[in-house]
Amino acid sequence: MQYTSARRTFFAANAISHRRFPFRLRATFHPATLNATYLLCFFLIITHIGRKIKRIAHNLILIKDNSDMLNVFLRAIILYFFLLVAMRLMGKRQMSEFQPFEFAITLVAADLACIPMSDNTIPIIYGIIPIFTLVILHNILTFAAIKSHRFRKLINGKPVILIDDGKIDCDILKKCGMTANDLLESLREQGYFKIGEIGYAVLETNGKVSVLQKFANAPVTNADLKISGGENALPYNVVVEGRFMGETFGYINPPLEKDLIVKTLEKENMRVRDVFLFSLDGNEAFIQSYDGRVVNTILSDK
Amino acid sequence: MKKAIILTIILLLILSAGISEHFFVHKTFDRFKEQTRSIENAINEDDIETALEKSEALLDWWNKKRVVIEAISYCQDARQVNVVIGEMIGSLKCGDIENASSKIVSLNELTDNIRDILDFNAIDII
Repeated sequence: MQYTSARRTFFAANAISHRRFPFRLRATFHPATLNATYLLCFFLIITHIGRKIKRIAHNLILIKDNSDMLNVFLRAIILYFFLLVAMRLMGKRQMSEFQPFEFAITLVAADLACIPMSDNTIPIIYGIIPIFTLVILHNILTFAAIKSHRFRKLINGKPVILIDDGKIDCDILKKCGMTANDLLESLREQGYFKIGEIGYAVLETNGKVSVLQKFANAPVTNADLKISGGENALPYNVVVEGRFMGETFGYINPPLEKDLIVKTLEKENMRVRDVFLFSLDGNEAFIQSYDGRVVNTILSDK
Repeated sequence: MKKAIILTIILLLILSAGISEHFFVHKTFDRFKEQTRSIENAINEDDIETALEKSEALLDWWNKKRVVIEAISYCQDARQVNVVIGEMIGSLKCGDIENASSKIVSLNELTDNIRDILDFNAIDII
């Protein structure tokens, strides 16, 4: 029984070997021999790759002696990718949403990348190590800020009320280093041109000004008018530039079949690859083809 | 969680690179010191041939190590070492033993300075 099982394993291993190797292996090869052959092949490949890398490195060293510009060019590429990884590890926030400490870290990181990028005498590692040290520090500070309210207040500061009950607080404005013009500019950026319409304005920790209008000037909402029945759904882009957005289908609830999209497009004499954008809002579809045709339709399988 | 793991790996890599650099610098300059000491002994014994042979061996050895040192750390003086060794070899070839012994002193000082710069110590942090 044991012998049969061993034979089966042995022949199975040889069968695999026949499939993987371009040359024919005899069925009499023992599995251990095959493993050794695999190892030998692996070793030879690794040695070959190693030699290639060594030769490339040697050539690069020669280039270093001959061409400084090429060196700077390669350094810029390498540092760019490291900076990209560092920025991805820092998070998704936009520049305008940076907290003071995040802004400082980003500025320093950019500067650190610049120095070894242009100076060939400085090892590239002198740029990479401090950048990643800052990224690690940034993540530790962010984590601490999430966990501790007191720490968050310490490093981010706290929001300040600039306009309180329709009245500009001149002292606070001065403390924040803002002039009346700065305040008016920030309000205009938010779309408020008449200061008399504003009830409260708050200077946020990221430097943006948030505004709350006076009750009399606040826009009327559906709830104020007691309008009901409508529903706001998140629009999904199911086809973008001629391709199905696979990930989007996972979010749509109830689940949507790709066939339904194809059928809807066929009704409009379109194929998926002709579509520039297919956006779905509930069962309302917005379709724009590459040739500029725009169709607003209802999604149905009939 | 994934990000925390990546950052921990990066942190460990940075720390291990720093520690390895520290040991590499120590090992290299210890070896350098040994070689200069043997050259100094040969010069003191007026054995120009041995001193010349050892100086040339030192230059070859240093050229190999310098590539690594320049790749991992920033020190302009590392290139100056070649110049001083070259001057010492030149003096020995001319049979100028006095100049060679003055060069070995400046070489020792130079390497001590480099070691001090590349070394990990609290004063450099400040």
